[in-house]
Amino acid sequence: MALRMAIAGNPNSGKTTLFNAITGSNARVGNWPGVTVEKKEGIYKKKVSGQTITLVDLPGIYSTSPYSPEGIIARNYILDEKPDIVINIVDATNLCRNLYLTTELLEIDIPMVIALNYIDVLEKDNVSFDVMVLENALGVKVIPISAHKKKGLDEIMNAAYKAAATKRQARSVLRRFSLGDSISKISSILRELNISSSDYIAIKLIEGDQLLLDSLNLNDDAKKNILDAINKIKKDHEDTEGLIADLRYDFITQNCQCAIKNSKKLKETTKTEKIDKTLTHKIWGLPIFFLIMFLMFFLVFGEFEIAGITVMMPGVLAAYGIEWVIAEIGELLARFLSFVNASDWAIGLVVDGIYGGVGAVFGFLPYILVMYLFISILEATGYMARAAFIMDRAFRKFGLSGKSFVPMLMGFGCSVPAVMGARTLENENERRLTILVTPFMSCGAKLPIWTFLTAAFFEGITATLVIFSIYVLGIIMAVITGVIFQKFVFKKQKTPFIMEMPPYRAPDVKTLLRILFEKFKSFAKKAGTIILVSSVIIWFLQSFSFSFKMVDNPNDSIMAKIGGIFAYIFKPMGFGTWQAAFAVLSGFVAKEVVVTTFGTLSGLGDPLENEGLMEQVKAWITSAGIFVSPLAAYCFMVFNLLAPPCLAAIGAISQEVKSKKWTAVILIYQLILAYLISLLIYGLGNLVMLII
Amino acid sequence: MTLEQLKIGQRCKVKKVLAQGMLKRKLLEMGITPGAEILFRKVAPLGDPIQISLRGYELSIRKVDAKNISVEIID
Repeated sequence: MALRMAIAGNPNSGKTTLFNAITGSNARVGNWPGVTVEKKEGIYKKKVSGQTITLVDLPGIYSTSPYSPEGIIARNYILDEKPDIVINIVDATNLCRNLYLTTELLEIDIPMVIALNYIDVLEKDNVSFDVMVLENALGVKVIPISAHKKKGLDEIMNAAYKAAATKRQARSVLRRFSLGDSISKISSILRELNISSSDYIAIKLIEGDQLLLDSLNLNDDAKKNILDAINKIKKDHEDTEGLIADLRYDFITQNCQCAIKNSKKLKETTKTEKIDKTLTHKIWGLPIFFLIMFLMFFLVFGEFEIAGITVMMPGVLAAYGIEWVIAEIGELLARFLSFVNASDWAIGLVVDGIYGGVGAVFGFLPYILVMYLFISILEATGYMARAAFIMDRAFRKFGLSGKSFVPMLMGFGCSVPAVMGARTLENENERRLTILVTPFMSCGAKLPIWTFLTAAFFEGITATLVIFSIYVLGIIMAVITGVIFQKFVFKKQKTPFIMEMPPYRAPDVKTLLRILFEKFKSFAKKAGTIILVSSVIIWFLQSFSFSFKMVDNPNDSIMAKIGGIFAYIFKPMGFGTWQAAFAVLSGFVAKEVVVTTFGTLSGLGDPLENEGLMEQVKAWITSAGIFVSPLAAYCFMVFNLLAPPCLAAIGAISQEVKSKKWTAVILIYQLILAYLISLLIYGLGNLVMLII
Repeated sequence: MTLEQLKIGQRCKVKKVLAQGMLKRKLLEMGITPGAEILFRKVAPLGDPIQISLRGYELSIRKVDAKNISVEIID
């Protein structure tokens, strides 16, 4: 059987870098059942004594307290799944705080070794670290490593392999303090009941960990004895929780801190302080933040013309490239199918249905990858924590956090990467809310709808103001939604904002590439499943009549009939025609399609592909009575702004919130809000016009 | 006095963590235990949160949470 090793450690301790360095490309990313935390499993590149070694990357944690999903997962994994060994990664440049978790992990009856990371940062400053001091104090092997320089990797794996062979009975470091007698008393009661890791559990029970107490299923006798012992401690110390944490830190400062011999301020620390003097400066902090955000947005979505030459930024350039490739392949595919005399419906299914749908979604891939690259860089360098620090106050009022800014800004480009970017928010409520409001930021694909309809129904400065008002409305709705959810939905949970500001460090290129590759894989998988199926369904509804005959005229399709039903719903907003309803529905494929649909319905062709057609289609749309008034056209825009986004973004939403209930809540809320607000605007608008 | 009342550059010693439940645990785990020394580093551009330095690392915390940390100034 393969040996199982779990890697545990603080966030920012280099855990992911270590995991990637050890496993190479053999990692599998999954989810921990029931929670929104990623689980990574990989296989050690080499074998030790001919044995295969599986590694599990536990979520980054500061402790094993049951207050965060990460903490519960990590401790349940170690206590219940019992890996053969725990590799505890410790950041040597932040020894004291990192060892707090170590003292907890040491209490669990599982072999352990310590990977002392970032030792190279100390060495660079000629600070020496006495590994023996730490080994003697903790009673486990300590191996200095540098995960990003790939130093000490074989050593840590060999040490882990060796240590895994011998059983370890844990003894808490707290036993040497005044609390020791009480701990050993409770611990021995637990051990009599054959409960392992008794020291760990004893201390958690003293700390009042109800979750653990319930999971033990103790008999009444044992329960009483334990609670008696705990109450006795509580008599002597009013604040046992505080005392235990205090003792852990006392132990660390007295016995471990001295492992660092000629302790001095590290160059890295000085450098970080210097950079922070500018980046989080009282006055310059904000403008620099906006500049960085603008640059990021620009590099992903930027495109401009200079001296007649169009300059495209990496994101746009890659998107055009992919689009061209997709179109070419589509063309070839169509030609091949007609060459082999495939029937019309088969060509339609493959070219328009499957290829068209999946291809359209692949067009988003470059934006996603480039944006992911930048977000990963912001995170890896440590700036993300600063961004949250700078923006927190502004966003907190709306139930969001400083970290919501990046995804919301990205939302103006494309909701798909934006929603995925919300992953950087640790707090579940803040993440859900950010994902909910991000599509309100009018994305690039919605812009053709705005320009098309305003050009048809409004003139001059009014047209510009109308488009501008759509963007502003999206932001206002995000704010209002935040206030509503904070007040009525999330009122129970008020999470504290206590965030580490890690030192600035250069990002590890390999880790960045790995993130991009994993992103690409998961995206390709999604495109091949949910999006493929949905595209086929939508193509079918658009191309067939209820008698399952392929239609030439879209007016006869199932979708048109469905549109006819939906038309009644839109009647109160002045666009209760089946064409408008059909356009709204088709917008779920991709928002640009709304304009394409009007072209198809007019019988003139796609105005997005043939510029000359635009004027004719506009003329048609104003005269065809699809919208009863310019106000109705505006309400149509409002509805499209706030209604659930395109299929690709809906896919991203369901993937990121990882809860069917919350995906439903988000989509239904967006739908209801879109309806109510466009109804409200239509009503108020008509009222105002009556008065005028 | 409590932590958020300090001025930039002042040092203090933690007397007691007044919070309960999750907040208390988080503060304790991050090293804000009785006796710990804290340097009040800076205030965010918008006036909140604050940045403190303790046990050799930097931490940012909202004023409303910092109100739960009772401290005394060291000169």
